[in-house]
Amino acid sequence: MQIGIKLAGCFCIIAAGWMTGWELERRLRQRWMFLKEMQELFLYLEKEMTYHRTTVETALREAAGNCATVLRDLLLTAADQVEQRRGELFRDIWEDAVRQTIPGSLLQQDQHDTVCEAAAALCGTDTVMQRTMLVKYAERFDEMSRQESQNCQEKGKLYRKLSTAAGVFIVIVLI
Amino acid sequence: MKERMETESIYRMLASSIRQLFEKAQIRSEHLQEIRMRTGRPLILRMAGEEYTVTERGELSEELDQGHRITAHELDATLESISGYSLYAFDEEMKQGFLTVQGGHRIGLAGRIVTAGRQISCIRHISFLNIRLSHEIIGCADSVMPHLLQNGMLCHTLIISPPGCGKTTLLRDIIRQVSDGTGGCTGHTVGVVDERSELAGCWLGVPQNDLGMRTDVLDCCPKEDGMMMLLRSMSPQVIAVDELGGSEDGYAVENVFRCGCRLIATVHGSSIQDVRQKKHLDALSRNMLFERYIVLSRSDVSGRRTEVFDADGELLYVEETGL
Repeated sequence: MQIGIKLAGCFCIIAAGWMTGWELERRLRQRWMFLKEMQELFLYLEKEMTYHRTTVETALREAAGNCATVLRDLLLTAADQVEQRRGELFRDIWEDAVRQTIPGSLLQQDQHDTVCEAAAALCGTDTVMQRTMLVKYAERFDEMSRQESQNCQEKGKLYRKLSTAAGVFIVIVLI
Repeated sequence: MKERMETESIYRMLASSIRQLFEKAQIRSEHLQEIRMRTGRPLILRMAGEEYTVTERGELSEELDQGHRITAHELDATLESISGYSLYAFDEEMKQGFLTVQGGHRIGLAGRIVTAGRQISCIRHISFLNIRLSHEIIGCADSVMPHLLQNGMLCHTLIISPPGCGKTTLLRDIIRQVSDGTGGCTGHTVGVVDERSELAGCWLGVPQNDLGMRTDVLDCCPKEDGMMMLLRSMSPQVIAVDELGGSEDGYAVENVFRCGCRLIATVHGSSIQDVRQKKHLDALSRNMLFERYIVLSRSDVSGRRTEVFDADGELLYVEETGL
C-alpha cells in the first residue's frame, strides 16, 4: 500500500516537472507563432492596402479570419476602434489594442515595441513609403520568427529536460 | 432625425478635441458650409456665408483670433479619421489635392508636394484642410426644368456661373430629374463624368448623392476620356459633366453632340458673352450647339438670380431666390 502511494507520488512529481517544461515550451511556441503570423499579416496587408486599396478596417477584419493566435483579437479590436472613429490617431488606436489584447508574458520588450511601432506602416499618406514599410516590417517579423523558431527548438528541449530532471531529483531526495 | 445623423457624421470626421468644442458650441450640420483647419492657426467655420470660429471654451465667435488654434496632432487625427484611417486608399485623389468622403463631403488638402519629374507623386506634411460639406438640395431645379425641355426632349444645356452660386447643386438636381423622369419628360439613361467627385460624391464607388435611378457615374475620371468611355460602353442618352474649360474638353463635347447624346454641362463664367470669350468653348457657343443657357449670379436683393436663355440669347425665364 505504502509503496503504491510512494509510486503515485513519484509519478505526480515527475509529471508536474514534465508539464512545467511543456508549458514553458508552449509559451515559446506561441511567441514564435505570433511573430510568424505578424510576418504573414504584413505580406497580406501589403497586397490588400497598396494594390487593392482595401480600407484598413476591412483589411484587418479579413486578416483576422486567417489568424490562430491572439493576433486575431488584436486585429479585431483595432478594426472595431477604427470603425468607431473616436478622432484619435491610428497609432494610439493600435497601441491601445496591443495593450488590451497581447498578454505581457507573450513577447519580449523589444518585440512588443516593434509590434507597437508597426502602426506607422498601416496608416500613412505616402503609398510608396507605406509599401516599403510594410515590406520592411514583414522582413523584420520574419527575422524575429526565425530566431524564435530556433529558440523554441533549443530552449524548448532544454526546458523539458531540466524540468523532468528536477522532478526526478525531488523524487530521489524524498525517497 | 436626418439632420442629427448628418451632424454626427460630421463630428465623426474631426479629432476628438475639436469634436468636443463643436459639441459645446452646438454646431449643427445644416448651417455649416466649410470647416477650415490650418496648423497653428484658428479654426474657421463658414456658416451662411459668414466666417466664425470656436473659442477654447466652446463658444461660437466672430472674433477669429480668439478661436481655438489647430495643432499638428489635431490636424493629423482629423485627416486620419476623415479617411477611415485609410489615406492610401485615396492616393490618386490626394494627388489632385482633395478627397471625397462618406456623405459626399469634399476635403481639400495642402502641404508639401512631392514630385517625380513633372508628376505629383504624393502630398506630405499636410497642414491645411478645407472640409466642404455637401448639401444636396432636392428640387432646386424644379423651376428651370420646364424650360430645358423641347417636345419632350432635353435640350443641350450649359450652366454658367461664378464660383459659389450653386451650379454643381443645380446640375446635380437636373441630372436626378432627367434620370428619374419629370413632368413632360420620361426618364433617360444619364452618364455622369465626375472628375472631382463633386456631383455624385462617390465613397468607395457608391454615389452618396441622389443622381437618379438611371444614372451611371465615372468617378475621378478626366472629362475628355470619361465622355468617350461612356459613349462607347454605357449607351447614355444624356451625358453630364461639371466645369468644362480644359483644352481637350471642346473636342470631347463635339463628339458627344455628333453621337446624338444630349449634354448638360457647367462652366465658370458670368454671362454667355463671357463664355464665348473662352478660347476652348468659343466654337461650341458660336455654332450654337447649346440650346439652353442657365446663367446664375449673385443678386443684392435676394441672394441668387437664375436666368434661362435659348440658343439665340433670348431670355426665357428669370427667378430670384435666397442662396
